[in-house]
Amino acid sequence: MAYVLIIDDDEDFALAAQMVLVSHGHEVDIRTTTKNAIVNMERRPPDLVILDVMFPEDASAGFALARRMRHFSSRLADIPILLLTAVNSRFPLGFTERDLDDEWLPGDGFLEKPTDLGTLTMRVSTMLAPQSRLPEATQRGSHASSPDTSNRTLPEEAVGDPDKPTKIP
Amino acid sequence: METPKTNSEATYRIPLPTQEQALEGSTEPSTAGPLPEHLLLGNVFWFCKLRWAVIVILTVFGALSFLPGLFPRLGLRSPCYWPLATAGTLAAANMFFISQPGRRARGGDPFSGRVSLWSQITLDLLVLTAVVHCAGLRETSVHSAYLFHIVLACIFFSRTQSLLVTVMACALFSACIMAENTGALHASSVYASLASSRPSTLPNMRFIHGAVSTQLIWLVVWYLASHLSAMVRTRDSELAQTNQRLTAAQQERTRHLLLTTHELKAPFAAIHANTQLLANGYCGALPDKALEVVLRIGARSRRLGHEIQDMLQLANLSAPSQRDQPSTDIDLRDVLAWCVEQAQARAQERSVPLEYVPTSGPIRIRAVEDHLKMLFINLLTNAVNYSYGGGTVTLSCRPASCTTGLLVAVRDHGIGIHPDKLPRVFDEYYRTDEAVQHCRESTGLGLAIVHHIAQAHGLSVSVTSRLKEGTEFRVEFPNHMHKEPSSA
Repeated sequence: MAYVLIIDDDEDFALAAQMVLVSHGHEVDIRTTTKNAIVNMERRPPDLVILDVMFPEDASAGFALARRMRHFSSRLADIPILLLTAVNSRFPLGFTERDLDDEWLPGDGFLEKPTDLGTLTMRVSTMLAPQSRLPEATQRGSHASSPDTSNRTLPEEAVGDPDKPTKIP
Repeated sequence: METPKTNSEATYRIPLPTQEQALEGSTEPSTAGPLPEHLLLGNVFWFCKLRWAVIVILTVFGALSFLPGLFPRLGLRSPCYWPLATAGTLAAANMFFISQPGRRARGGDPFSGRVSLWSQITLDLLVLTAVVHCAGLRETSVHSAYLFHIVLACIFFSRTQSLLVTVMACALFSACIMAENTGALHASSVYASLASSRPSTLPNMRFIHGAVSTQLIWLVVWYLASHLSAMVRTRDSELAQTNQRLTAAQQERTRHLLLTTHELKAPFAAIHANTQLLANGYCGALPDKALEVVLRIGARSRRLGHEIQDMLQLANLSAPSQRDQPSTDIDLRDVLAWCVEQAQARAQERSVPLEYVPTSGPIRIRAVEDHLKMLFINLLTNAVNYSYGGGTVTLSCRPASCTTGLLVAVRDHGIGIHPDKLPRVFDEYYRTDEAVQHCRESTGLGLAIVHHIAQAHGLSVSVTSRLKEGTEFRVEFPNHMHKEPSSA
């Protein structure tokens, strides 16, 4: 089980993500402002941060927080960051996973909203794998408690991971 | 704005726009004043460089006058001390003017660009008057050099200031004539034969008439040069303001687009996420009918998210500011690879293989990169959406006919389009019944975006289709956009 912190001003989305991640055995907290998130993280560093980029008070608060974690806090520097935002690279000033850069746009993964919660869970598990080092049995146990979702998918939803690196033939 | 204190009442009043902000939208041309300080400072150095050239000429002239026999053979007086004295004065002045920016950097008392230019022009006029006197007021045309100063003043200063320079030049020239004619100054000349042949104290009416008409010509030159300079400066200022407004509008629009996209898409992302909770049983099992409704809500919210993005893209493309987007040199091969990468996720969702065979060499074109990405992503997404499962979508790029530079084609093996409906597929929100039945996710705006971008760049887009077999969209790049032949 890992401790995941969701930092997102959209509480409706964050609660849904929290419910799914909790059902997969993670402990999940939500912070709706980056200021509260910093206080929370200094008190208890999470194993993974799911970070929104644009906040009402500052459209780039997510970037600022990610840079602060990476470059100005030795305690938080190694925490994996999964960026999650409704903006994508199809707009000028938009960005995608390819734009992640340790100096300017630090992060370990990127997902675009709306995202499939299954994809989110899978991405969280992948990113936690090196850090969590949980026995497989524990993981299986926690997964066993989650509802059976094998036959219930939204029509035309993502089957694969949209952010998986593409091999161009 | 009052400083807010914790737990105390605070007031904020929206500040009134400054005069500059209020005039931002005004189309009135600005008046032509002098050049801005930073440009004047740049010209201080330019003047100094010019002065070094004059110093070298005077020094060489003075030094040659000491060569035995050279000047007398040319009919010139020998030796000449005044060129060396003048060169020395100018060199000292130049050293002083050049040292000013250094003093400014060290925190000393600096000359502003304007003061420095005025000091230089005044000194130059005084030195020139001395040279005119020494070289020979009547026998030489050195006084024509006053014109250089007048024209330069017209370029760098306002009309009033350049008039002042012209009046200074006339006054110094007249003073020199008066001084020589009244005997206050003994007339001199570079010519050996004329220096002592004519008594300088006698008034020469012909020369005075000539001097007066010369000064009238200077005034006419001032009028023409300052008028032209003012016109050019006004136009330059207008262009700079327009450019500034366009850049600001473009930046504001891009920022607004980004914020609007986020604000509109985020709620649908939340709805979509919560419908997944219900549909996937995280909140308990749902009756079949309720599940069906929830699935419909989820699908619709996802589609709305896409629609919002497409609508905003289209609105952005239609904005006048987009027409002025700067083109850059890009490798079309990279753009196409990027688009394929972006469309790959959607292709995997729909089990549609996506094939792209890149050309062996780079394909250099000049265009707006963001626009091309939008165009090809929309064509590829469209092809994937309307393909049958397992039907391959192929993206190819090859040199076209002699009249066009390049041809990029996106071919699918999908539902196809009825011939009667082909002319309407680029209309906004138009979707054929077959398209709606096959894929509800499409917004009907993708091809309208393609249409807008193609028109903006002068690209030729054509579509060929056969019902239930597939469709091919072809984008032809004209020769002038294509920088070099591609090796396909």
